[in-house]
Amino acid sequence: MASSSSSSLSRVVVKSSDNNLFVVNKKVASQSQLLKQCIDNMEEKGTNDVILIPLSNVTSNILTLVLEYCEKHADFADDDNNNQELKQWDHEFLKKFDYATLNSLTMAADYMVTKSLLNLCCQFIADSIKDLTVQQIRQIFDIKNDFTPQEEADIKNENAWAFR
Amino acid sequence: MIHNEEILEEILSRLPAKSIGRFRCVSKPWRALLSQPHFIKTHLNRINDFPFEAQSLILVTSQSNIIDDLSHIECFVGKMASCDGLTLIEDGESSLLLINPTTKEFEGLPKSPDALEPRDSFTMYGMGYDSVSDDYKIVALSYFDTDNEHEPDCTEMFVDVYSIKKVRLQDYSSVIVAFDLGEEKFGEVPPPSLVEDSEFVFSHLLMLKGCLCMFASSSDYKTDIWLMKSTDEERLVMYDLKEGRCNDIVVENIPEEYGFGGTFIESLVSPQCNIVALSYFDTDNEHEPDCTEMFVDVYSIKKGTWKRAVSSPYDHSVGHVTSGVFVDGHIHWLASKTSDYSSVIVAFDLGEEKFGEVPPPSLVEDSEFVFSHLLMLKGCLCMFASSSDYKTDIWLMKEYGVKESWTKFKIIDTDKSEFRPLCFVGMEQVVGVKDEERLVMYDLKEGRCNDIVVENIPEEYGFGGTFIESLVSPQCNVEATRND
Repeated sequence: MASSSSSSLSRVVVKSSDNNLFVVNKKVASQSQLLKQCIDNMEEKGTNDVILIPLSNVTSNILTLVLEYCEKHADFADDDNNNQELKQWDHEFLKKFDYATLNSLTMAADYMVTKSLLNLCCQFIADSIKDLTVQQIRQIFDIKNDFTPQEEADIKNENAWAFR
Repeated sequence: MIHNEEILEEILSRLPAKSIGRFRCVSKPWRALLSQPHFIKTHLNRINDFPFEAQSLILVTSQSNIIDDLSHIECFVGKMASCDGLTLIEDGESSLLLINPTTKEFEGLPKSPDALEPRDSFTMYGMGYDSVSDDYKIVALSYFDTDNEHEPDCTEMFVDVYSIKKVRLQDYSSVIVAFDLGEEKFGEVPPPSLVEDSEFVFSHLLMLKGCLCMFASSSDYKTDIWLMKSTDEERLVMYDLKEGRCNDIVVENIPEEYGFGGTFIESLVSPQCNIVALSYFDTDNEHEPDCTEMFVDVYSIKKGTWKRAVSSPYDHSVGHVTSGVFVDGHIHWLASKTSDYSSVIVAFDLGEEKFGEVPPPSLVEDSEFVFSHLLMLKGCLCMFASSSDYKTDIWLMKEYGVKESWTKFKIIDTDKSEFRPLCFVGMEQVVGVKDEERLVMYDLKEGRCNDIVVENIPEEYGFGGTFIESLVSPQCNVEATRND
């Protein structure tokens, strides 16, 4: 809850892990529960200074993307969630990225507590890997096969239903 | 690439069940993550968040290949129930099987010790998840077939004397089957020689004066009673009361310890009682207090046992045998009130294990809707009925238990055929069966039907309903139930 004092921040400055500064208006920043919490705390203290929020885990490349997402969603904040135009935009937005970027974006969304972006990323990754082979999954997720040939044959046999 | 296990779980729990099964083979950590009960629960809850997206159809064919190990499952379309991907079916021999059609795991369920003889009764099943005890429960609702004219009317005597627990007819090929309590196995007892094989399954077994008896009422309202008596260790005789004489029976391969006196006596009423009981055996008798009772048996997957619940106060003999519809912790059937025969939607509370009612749509006439059908669409309880002009009215209760939330939509078919809805695809398309023959997709917006072409489908099949593709195991896996 914002306090009743006259102070009301209109924007915040967010710093990426590689020390780039981003000026973000409050409505956009509020899409992230982490940023929103910082703003609420400052407002309760009644400070008028522009606050600086350092995000030690997020690079500027990724932060740019998160903020792009937040900006778009802030525009639709009052609309209902089923907005088709927004859904279309979400899909086009994620389609551009490779797995490494999607991964970083997912981690950033988790860290910045942007639940809708986190859900979106997880669903998008799930949809794009669901038809891949075991070998492809190992490549993408950089996983070493730690089964012995016998173990692998057994586990495949156990889950034979999933290979048909 | 992703090293945060929580996020990895977030992603993987959104995969279809089949992908998860495959990805268990990626590595040991993935196998561990994707097999743990907590994960299976998370996955199930995700599917249940979108109840109209991940459904599959159950098609019933005479040669089912759902499960490779079960070469031949015959099941009745009207007797299937599915919840959380677990699907209950009854095969041609009245055995219950719980199958996860996705993972092909299956489990045969024991017969209820209280189960009524299938030839003399109707049983309807329902299945659901009880959040109170975190358990899947199967409910069997059974009643005697009092209208079947080929059988003698059942009376109290039937219930008292015929011990379902210890004697049952094992198959349809007219043998008397005896359960040897000592050996705990079934053997065969030769039937009386004057009885026609094909007929005597409609007879009943009982015990009279320590002997195994069989009786049947014939068309001329006379009762034949056959008495089998052990005269010494090696001879059995058949005593025909009507003719008043004994016939020897040659018994081959019957074990000596197969005596009838000892094994059945504990469940018997006294000879006097039998006489009284026999006097009730009257095909014109219209008072059958026990026959109209609705027996309710509940099976707990967690405990692996059947239990008899309080009998239902409603009349469930509504003309068609259907499986119960599970929505919101309750299994639903259409029934009649015993007082005035008005229709009612009854709801069996899986937590409390008793029946209650759900308010029907206010515009539906009480007298009629018992002949409608229930199903679940979009996670909501639905009722539908075809009218004479080939319009199907589907009522959907948007908010469970709230009478005002019943909403109607119509399926109007220009083909003049009957439409039975099965499930939604997206928000506007209803998959259904036309005239119990063809799978069709009805578009609510366009108001028309399109045929669905299914490749490699057998020529003859029935439509059993839908299930969701989950990883829940039919084996008594206590952990892997969902959390509500």
